[in-house]
Amino acid sequence: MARVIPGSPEAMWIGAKPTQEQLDQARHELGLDRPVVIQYLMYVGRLAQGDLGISLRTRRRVAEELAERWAATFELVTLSILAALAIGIPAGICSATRKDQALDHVSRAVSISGVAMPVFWLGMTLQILLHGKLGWFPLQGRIGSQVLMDHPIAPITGFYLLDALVEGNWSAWSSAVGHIVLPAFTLSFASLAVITRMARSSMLEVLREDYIQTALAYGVSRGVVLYRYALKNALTPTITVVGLSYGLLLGGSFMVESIFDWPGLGRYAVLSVTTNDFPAIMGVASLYAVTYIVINTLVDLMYYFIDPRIKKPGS
Amino acid sequence: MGAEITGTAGGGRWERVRYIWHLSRRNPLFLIGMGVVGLLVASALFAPYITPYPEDATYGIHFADKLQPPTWRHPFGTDALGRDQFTRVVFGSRLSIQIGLAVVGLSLVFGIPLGLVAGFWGGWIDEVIMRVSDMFLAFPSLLLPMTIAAALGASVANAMLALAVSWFPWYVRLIRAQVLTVREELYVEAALSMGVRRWVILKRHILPNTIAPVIIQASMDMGYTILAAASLSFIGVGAQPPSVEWGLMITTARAYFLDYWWTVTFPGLAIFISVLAFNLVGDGLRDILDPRIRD
Repeated sequence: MARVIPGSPEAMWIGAKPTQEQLDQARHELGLDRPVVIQYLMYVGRLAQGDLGISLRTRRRVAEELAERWAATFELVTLSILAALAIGIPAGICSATRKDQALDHVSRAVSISGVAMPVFWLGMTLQILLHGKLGWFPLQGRIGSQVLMDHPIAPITGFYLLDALVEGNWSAWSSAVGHIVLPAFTLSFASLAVITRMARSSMLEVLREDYIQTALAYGVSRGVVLYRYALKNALTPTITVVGLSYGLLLGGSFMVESIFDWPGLGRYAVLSVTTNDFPAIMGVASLYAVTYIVINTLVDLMYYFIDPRIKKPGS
Repeated sequence: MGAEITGTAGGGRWERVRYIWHLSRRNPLFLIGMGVVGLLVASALFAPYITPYPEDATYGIHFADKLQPPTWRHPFGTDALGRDQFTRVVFGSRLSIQIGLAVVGLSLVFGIPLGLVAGFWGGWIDEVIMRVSDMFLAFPSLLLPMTIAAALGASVANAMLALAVSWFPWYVRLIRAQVLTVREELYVEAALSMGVRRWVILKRHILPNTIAPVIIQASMDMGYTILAAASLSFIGVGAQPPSVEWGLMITTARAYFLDYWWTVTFPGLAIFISVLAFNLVGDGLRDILDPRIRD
């Protein structure tokens, strides 16, 4: 039995499916579960033609619009997940090695509150404090519009941070960095919580293992035991929650992009949803679902490479 | 494994209550969570009696008092229509609790039977049920409810339905996994070999032994559905203006919140604290109901 999150090419097709079902069902006045199967077949037929249709709101091809916005979201989400990993894993590890000390309590409090925090509220609170009161960061947008006019960024990859860096366009780069800090932090907060929690608990679990205790008893130094033996084994389960965190990030992008006026897929999705732009909703939903599944597949593969004990993933 | 523990934990009902109390006393976070949940339920029930300006939850408009900062008269300040925010935050608990109960309730109603059937009968029924739930779970959080809610038309009832539709597959999975472990127990095999009918086994032996994780999950999900519902309202596909809902309060304040912090701070805190409380209760219940994973 594949215990993992759907991760086959078929699953990608499947991923796009329920939305259409739901839309169809909605037209037939929502019948929760079964008749789905028939509609599924119809949908696959339509999807096979590969046309996402034309947006009702902007009267442009949905596929084109998605392509324009994809980079902005991907840049934001990637930075967020990197931030979550870069902060979360060390925080979880420190928390585990200093169990029940002050640092542990702080990081546990953060990790409990992280998943309970409404992401839109966190974003707005940060805007009030760090923009309104302190003026440290710009309110919203991806880059200062004046800066972009004076120092245009050549569209190489579409990622502002990368493109500006490659060009050596420092004023654009620093403006883009300033603009991405708040949304990226807001977006990463929930994943940060999940990752910290997982890193902590798996590190604690590994530290209890016999081989760790034995190594310690033989007098191997604590640092070597922690970072050479324990860390690697503790990381495996932590990596698996990255897939889940990615789901949180993608879900959070709807709100974060709306609040910070980020010109990406999340804001596009919300705009489409609130204007009942069905072809656009369908397109953006499919793109999100496919991205989610691809990421989870990659995470599963990574798991396979990191942990040699899993030789046969179906057994 | 679970069976031995729940099996021997018998004793009188009173003894069990005392045992649970004993466990919860050592878990202050659980008690805090329970306290906050109690407060939340109380404020939902008695909102009209404990708020200073109950009419502000419905038709009250006082332009003279608009956007007042927190004072003794208005502990949470007032909104753009001069309505007392404390009153509205307290009233907001009503809708949130209703949404939580409805979504979790619906998820259980659909999830439990489907999970039991899938896990116990196996075979092609299992395949069908699980593949269908996998489809629902293939979406990043909030995407599916957002899409469904939009398709149905923005309203609280539709948001609830949308959330329930995207939530129940988790219960199907959870219960099926439980059933698969319980099914292998000796007492189930014994009952089967004695010729006890399948659905009797399901009802008498399997269901009671799968329910603990479901209770834990359900209490956590009360919080998460409140959060998700608030997010839907924030996006604009949930509660609509005449209703009082925390996410809606925040989204209404978006035009002016930078200058009037209290318009978003208090409704947001209400969401945060409620979700946190249900989370703590779920965590605490896990410690109490599932002693194996206590550390």
